[in-house]
Amino acid sequence: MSDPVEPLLRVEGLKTHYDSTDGFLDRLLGRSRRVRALDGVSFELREGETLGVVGESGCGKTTLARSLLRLIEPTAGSVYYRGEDLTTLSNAELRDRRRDLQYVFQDPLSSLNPRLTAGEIVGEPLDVHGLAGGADRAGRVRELLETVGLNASHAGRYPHEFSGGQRQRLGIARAIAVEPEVIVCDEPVSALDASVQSQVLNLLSDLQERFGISYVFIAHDLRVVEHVSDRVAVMYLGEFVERGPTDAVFRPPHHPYTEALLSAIPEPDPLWDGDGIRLAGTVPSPIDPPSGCRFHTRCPRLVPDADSDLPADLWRSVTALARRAANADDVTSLTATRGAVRAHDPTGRADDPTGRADDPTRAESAARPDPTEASRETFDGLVREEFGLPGTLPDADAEEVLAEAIDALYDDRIGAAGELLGSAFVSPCERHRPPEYAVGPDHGIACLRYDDGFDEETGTLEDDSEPAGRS
Amino acid sequence: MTALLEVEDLTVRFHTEAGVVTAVDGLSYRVEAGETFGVVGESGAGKSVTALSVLGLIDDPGRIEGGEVRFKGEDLLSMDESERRSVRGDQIGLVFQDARAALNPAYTVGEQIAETIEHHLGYDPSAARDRAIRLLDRVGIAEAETRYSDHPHEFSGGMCQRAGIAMALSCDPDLVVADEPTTALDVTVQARVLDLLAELADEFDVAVQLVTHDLGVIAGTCDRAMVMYAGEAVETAPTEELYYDPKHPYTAGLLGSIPRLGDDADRLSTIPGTPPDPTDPPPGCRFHPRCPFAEEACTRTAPALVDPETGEPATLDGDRAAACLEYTQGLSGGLEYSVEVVDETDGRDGGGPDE
Amino acid sequence: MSLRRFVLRRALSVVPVLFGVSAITFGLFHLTPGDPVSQLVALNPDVSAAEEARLRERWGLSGPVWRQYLAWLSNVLVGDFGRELRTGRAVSAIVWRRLPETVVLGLFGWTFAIAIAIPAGIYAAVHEGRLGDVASRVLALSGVSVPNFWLGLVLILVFSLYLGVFPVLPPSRLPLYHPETLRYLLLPGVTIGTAAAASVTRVLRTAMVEELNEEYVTAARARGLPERTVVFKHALRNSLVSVVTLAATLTAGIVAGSVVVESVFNWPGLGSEFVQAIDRREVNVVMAITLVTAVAVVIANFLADVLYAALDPRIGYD
Repeated sequence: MSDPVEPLLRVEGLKTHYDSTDGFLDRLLGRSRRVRALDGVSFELREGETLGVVGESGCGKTTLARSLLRLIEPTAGSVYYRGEDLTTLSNAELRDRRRDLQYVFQDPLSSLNPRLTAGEIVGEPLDVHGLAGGADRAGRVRELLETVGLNASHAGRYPHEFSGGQRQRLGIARAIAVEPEVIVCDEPVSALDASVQSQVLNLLSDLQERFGISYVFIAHDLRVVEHVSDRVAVMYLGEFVERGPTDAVFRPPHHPYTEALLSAIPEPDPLWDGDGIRLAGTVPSPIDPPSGCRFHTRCPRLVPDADSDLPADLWRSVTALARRAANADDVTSLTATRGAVRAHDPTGRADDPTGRADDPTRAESAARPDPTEASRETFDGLVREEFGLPGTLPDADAEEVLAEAIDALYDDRIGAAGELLGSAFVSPCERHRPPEYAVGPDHGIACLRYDDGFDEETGTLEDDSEPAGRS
Repeated sequence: MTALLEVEDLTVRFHTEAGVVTAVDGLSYRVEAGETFGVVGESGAGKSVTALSVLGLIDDPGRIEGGEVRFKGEDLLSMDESERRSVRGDQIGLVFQDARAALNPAYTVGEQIAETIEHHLGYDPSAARDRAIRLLDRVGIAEAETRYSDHPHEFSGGMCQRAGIAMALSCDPDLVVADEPTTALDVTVQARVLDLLAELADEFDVAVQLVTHDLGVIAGTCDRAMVMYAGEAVETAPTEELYYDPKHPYTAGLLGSIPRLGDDADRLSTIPGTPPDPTDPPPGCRFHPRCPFAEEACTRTAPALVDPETGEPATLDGDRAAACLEYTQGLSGGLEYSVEVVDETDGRDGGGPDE
Repeated sequence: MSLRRFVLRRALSVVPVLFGVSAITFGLFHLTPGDPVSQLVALNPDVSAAEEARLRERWGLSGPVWRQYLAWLSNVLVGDFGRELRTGRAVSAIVWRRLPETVVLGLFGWTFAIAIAIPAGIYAAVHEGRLGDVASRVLALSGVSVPNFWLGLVLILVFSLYLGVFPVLPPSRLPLYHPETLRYLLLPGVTIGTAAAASVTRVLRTAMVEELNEEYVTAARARGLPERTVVFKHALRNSLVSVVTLAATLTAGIVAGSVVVESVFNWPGLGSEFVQAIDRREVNVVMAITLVTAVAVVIANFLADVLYAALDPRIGYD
C-alpha cells in the first residue's frame, strides 16, 4: 500500500489499553488486568474520501474513534495528520489542531449541552477558535443551520425541542462550523429511524461533496457502511482483520468474519435467502484475547491441522468440544441435556388431558439418562450428540484421542480431557498470528487462508510449522 | 372462524402534561394461530404501545380508551385483572427489547424462569427448575445447568435475549408478543436470535406478533405484516406483497430509504421531514406533510383503511388493506412509484476460497 | 473478592479511623478551658498551688497535650482505659454498665423506625401520587424536620403529664430485660427512632417508585405474576439496597441522638454519661465513649456493605 502523496491521516500501530484493576490493593499487588481495547491498528485516510470501520460491539470501534483525536490517550502508535504526529503534540497544540479534526457522536442528545440553544451550540466553536464575531457570527450560525437542513429561525430552541434526526443535524452543524478537514463519525445514524437515517446519510455525503471533508465513519451496520464508504476496514477484537476498497471487501466477501457479518444482515426482501452463516458465541474478552488469529474461536472456516484426515467440519466439531471442555465446570454441561421441551413434551400441556402437568415424575421418566449416572456407553453417546459427532470418527488416530478424552470426562477429569483434546487438535490459526496478506490493490486480509502455503484442495496449510507468507 | 388474536378499534391515550397523546388510534388487526405477524413502523408509531395493550399492561398516565382485544374469542380488556393475569405469561408470552432490563438483577436467570413455571403450571420447585434448565438448553444456552444459577449481569446481551425467549415460551403459550427483540443486539447475534425465534415458533406451534422498526427483520421472518404510522395502521399485507407491491406511499418510502448492499446509488431516497408531533397530529391523512403524492384532499380527509382492489372498508379477515385516498376517491396524480428488485446474487454469493 | 478477605481488609481500615477519631477528640477536649483539678480548686480555695500541681501530675493532666495523648494511647493499646479521676472507678466498668442501656434504646429506636418505615414506604410508592402517598410524604417530611429534644419533651408532656399513660422517670431499679422496662422504653425509643423512620420512608418510597418503573417489573407483570409477588419479591428487594446504604448513616444519627434523648428522658445510658463526663471534664470517660461510638458506626457501615453485596449480586466485596 504505497502512496506517493502523504495521506490526510496516517495511523500507525495505534494501541489503546485500559487498566481494569479492581482497586488500590490490587494495583499494589500488581494484579492489574489490561483491556486491550485497541491493539495495533494502521490505516490511511485520503483527502475527500470516506473510510468505513465496521465490527460488532466490543470490537474497539469507539475506542479507535476517540483515540484518533486523543479524546482517549492512546497507549502506543502514531496518528499523523498531514505528516504531523498528533500523539506527540502538547495539549495547546492539539486544541489548535482540533479545528481540522472534528467528532460527531452517536447520541446527539447527550453530546449537546441541554442548557444551550441551537445557535449557541453552533456558535461556540466559532468563539473558541475565533472564527467569526459580531454580526458575522450571527450570519454564520444561520448559514450553518441552513446548510445542515435546519430552520435558521430555530436558533433559539434548545436541544430537547428538536427531534432525533434534527439533533444529529445540529451535532453535524457544530462539527462543520470550524470548516474541518476530517470528521470522525461514531455511529452517527444508529440511534435514528430508517427514514431519518437516510436523510442524515445524504446530508453527510452532500457536505463531503461541497466542502471536500474526509470521514472516518464508524458503524455496526454494514449496509450503512457499505453505502457511504470508499474504503472499509473490518474490525475484530481491537484489530483490523481486513481492509480495502468497499467493493473489493464486500463483493464477494473474503475474510470469514466479513463473510459472516455480511450474511447476518436481514435483507428487506422476503424471497432473499441468505448464506446462513451464523457465528457462535460472542466476541471474547479483550483482556485475554485468543492466541493466533483472534477470530479462531468463532471462525466457521477454521483451518484444520494438515496431519489430520478428518473432514473439516468434524474436525471443527472436535475443537468445539475441546474449547468447551477447557472452560466447563461439570460434565453435564458437555452432554446433551436431559429431555427437550416441546409442545408435545410430556411435561407440557399439549397432550395432557387434565390441562396441567402436575406430575414432575413423568418428566423424569421420559427424559434422557442423567449423564452423571449413565453407563460409559450412554455417556459417550450423550457427549457425541451434544457436539454432532458420529459414533466413531473416520480417522483412527483422532478417534483414539476422542475416546480417551471421553473416558476422562466420564471419570470427571474435565481438565484432563480439555488438555488432551486441546493438544491433539490444534489449528494453525491458533498457533500463528496471521499477517496482513495483500490480495489486491490496496486490499489486505489477515487470514491464513490467504497464505501462499494454503492448499484450497485440502483446505489445509501445506507446511503447518510456519506460514509461507505471500509472494 | 375467529383468529387467535383479534384486535378491534383499539385506542390508547396518554394523558401527559404536554397534552393528550393518542398513541394508538382505532387500530384493528388479527393474528392467526401459528403464524408470525409483523408490526413495523418508526419510533412513535405506536408499535410498542400496541404490544403492551394486548397484555393489558398500559400504566398511568396511559389508558386503553376503547376497542377490544379478543384472545381465543374472549375480550381481554373486559376481563378482571386476575383473569388477565392467568392469561399473561401462561397463554401469551412477552419478549422485550432490552432483555437484560426485563430480568430482575437480584435473582438468577433460572429462578425467574422457574418462578413463572411454578406459578402458572403448578410445578414443584425441583420440577420447575428442571423444565427451566431444559428450556435454557433449548434456546441455545451452553451449559444450561450451570448457567441456571447465573445472574443476568453474567449473561451477554444475546444470551439474555435467549433467556427472555425461554421465559416467554416457558408455559407453552399460544402467542408470543416480541417487542423489538433484536434491536439491541449485534447483527451476528440478531441473526441467530431470529433463527431461533422462527425455529421455536414452529416447534412450539406458537403464533408470534413481531414488533420491529427493521423491514429486513420482517422480510425474513413474517407471514403477514402491518405498517404503522403515527398510531394508525396504514397498510396490512402478506409479506411478499408488502415488499413487492406496496400500496401505501409510506411503505414504499420506508423501503426505499434502507441502504441496500450492492446498490451503487450515491444518494438514498428518503422520506422528507420527520414523524409528526404526537400531541398535535396533522389533519387529514397524517402522512400528507411527508408524502410526495399528497394533494389538497389529503390535507382535509383522513383516509379509511380499505381493500386497495375494491375500495371497500377493510375487514378483520381481509388480507390486504391500505389507508390512502387513492383507493377511495382517487388522487388526480395517482401514486407513482415502482419497486425494483436488486439483483440479489450480486455481492452475496461466493466467499473466500472454499474447501 | 472473598468475604474473608473483605472482612480482614475492613478490620484493618478501622485502625486509622479510630486513631484519627481519638486524636481529634482528645485535641478538641483540651481546647476547651478547665479540667477536673481546676474545678476542684474552684470549690476549695484553700488548696495550694503545689498540691494542685501534684494532683495534676497524679491524674496525668500535666505536660503538653500530645504527651498526655500518647500516655493515654499507650494505656489503651494494652487495654487500659483508665479511671474516672474523681471517683477512681474503672472507665471500662462504667462503659460496660451503661452500654447495654444505650444498645437497647438504639435497637428499639431502629425496630420502631423499620416497623413504621417499610410499610409506609411501600404503601406510598404503590399508591404514588394518591392521597396516602401525599399524606405519608408530609408526615415523613415533618419527621425529618422535628428536632428530637423537642419531640421528646412534647411526648413527655402529652403522654406522661396530661394522659399519664407512661412513666416519666427511667427504670432505675428495674432490670433492663424486665417486660415492664418496655413501658419506660417506649417514649425515648419513639423519639430516637422518628427521624430514622422518616428518612427511611422517604428513601424507600423514592427507590421503590423507581424500581416499579423498571422494565423487569413490567416483565414480571407480563409473566402473570401476582401483584404481591411483583411488589414484595421483585421491587422491594432491589429498593432495600438504598435503604441499607442509608442505614449506616442513620445509625450514626441514632448514636448521636442518644446523647440528647437520654438526657431529656434521663435514660441511664452512654449518652447521658457522656454529657455528665464532659461537664465534669472526665477525659478518660469521654475518650472511651467516643471510641465505642466510633466502633459502633464503623460496624454499622461494615454490616451495610455486607448486606449491600448480598442484596445486589452485581456488587462484589470491594
